[in-house]
Amino acid sequence: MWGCVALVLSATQAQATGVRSRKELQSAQSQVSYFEQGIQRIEYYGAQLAILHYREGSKLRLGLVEPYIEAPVQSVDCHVQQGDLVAIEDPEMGLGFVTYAELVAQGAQHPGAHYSEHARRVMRPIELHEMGGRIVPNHINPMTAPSLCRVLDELEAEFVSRCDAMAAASVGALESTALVLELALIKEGIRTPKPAAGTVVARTAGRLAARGLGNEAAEAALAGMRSGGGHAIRHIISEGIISDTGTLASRMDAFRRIALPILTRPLGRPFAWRIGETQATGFLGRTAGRWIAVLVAEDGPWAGKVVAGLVPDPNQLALMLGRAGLGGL
Amino acid sequence: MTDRAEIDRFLRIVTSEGKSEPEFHLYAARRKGEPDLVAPLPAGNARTYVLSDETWPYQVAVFELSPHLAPTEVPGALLRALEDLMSQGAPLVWLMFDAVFDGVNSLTTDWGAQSTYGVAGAATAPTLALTEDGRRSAGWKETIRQTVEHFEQSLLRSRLSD
Repeated sequence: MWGCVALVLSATQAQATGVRSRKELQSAQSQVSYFEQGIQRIEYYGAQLAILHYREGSKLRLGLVEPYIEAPVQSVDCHVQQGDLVAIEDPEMGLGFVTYAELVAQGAQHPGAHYSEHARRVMRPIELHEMGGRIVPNHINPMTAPSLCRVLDELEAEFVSRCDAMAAASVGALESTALVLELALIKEGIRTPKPAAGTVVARTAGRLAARGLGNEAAEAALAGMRSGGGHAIRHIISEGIISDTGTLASRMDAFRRIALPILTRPLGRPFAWRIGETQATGFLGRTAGRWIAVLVAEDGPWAGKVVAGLVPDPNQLALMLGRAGLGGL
Repeated sequence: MTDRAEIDRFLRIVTSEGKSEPEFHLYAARRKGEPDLVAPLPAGNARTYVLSDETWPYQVAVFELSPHLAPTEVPGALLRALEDLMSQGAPLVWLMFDAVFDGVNSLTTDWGAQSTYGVAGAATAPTLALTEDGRRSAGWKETIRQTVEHFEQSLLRSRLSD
């Protein structure tokens, strides 16, 4: 299985640089900037974390979601020179990138103009689109989380499918809020690189949190839940996601650990959901490979509080994903 | 008498989003440690949960029932379900919308009474309130209050006799 690692990584690198044919791929591999990853094996932990073991004995933890994203991972790529690219968030054009060389050229052509004007002239927007069931960027792989999925493709189908779900959620977040997807291109401090550092690392940072509840509101939503929370979390318990043993307080602690990240960093956008006669806002997330919906009441005596956590059935999930803007999953 | 339009309105409330069948949530409160209750209305799906809190002197069984019923069969079936659990020894049984339950005492609040659409107790024959007007009436709230009060008194008596 691991014999294909270099090929897969090479293919990814080829895409990153626009290389298409085998000949071009070989050419890319001969470039000075090409770097053999030297990965021995990869351990997967759901869609949240992958640990890459290098032949030299070092390890790199690739976190896709907090809290597994570890500073100071900043960026890594094989062909893109450190500092060559500048990610830009323009209020009108959205997300994009330019190179320093382009900016310098603009500066020479339009002296006195503001930096943002230069950037706007030459920036290429980052667009993510679906290709063969995968989410891929139009320009530079290393600037988007799905690049990690590309790297891991064919190594672990299940992992990739989950990564895609995460990546698609990130895409949804980007599309509607124009938040910067901070993706990495050079890693520093984690592993001493050989000639050049070399693993495509995607980092979404914590910016996607903007569409969930703030920490304070999320904490408040989980505090003082009706009937001590026991009724609201019965489905989560019956699905085995939380143990049925221990005190109610301990079960609620477990639920809080699951629900807090979902409330603050939901996958997709929060959506309207009716439960009984109560109108609620739903927040979607994944825990232990399962979709979880956390519902916060919008009306009634429990307004602002979590009134239910549930594992949606396929029909409910399809409806929720559609409302969350993740209908393509 | 509940007419068909009112039943349909009620059924829309108890049919969860994304589901095609209504789901009735039947609660039974009883002393802790008593034998498990058997879900009534066997035709269809039933999920059973037991809620317990260290601060409660009782525990609550929750049955989520999705019987295959024609709309006009619903009132009779719900009454039979209440009777069934009473006959199994549950001293307080009620039907309530989802996302409302907050302990037995919550039934007697305005919100709790308006969200409860059926009740039965040792001194209360199985009764339904499937219409919104019925659930909002003072008479319905009083029926629930008396039923809950009777349950709490019986609970207190049994604890004193232990």
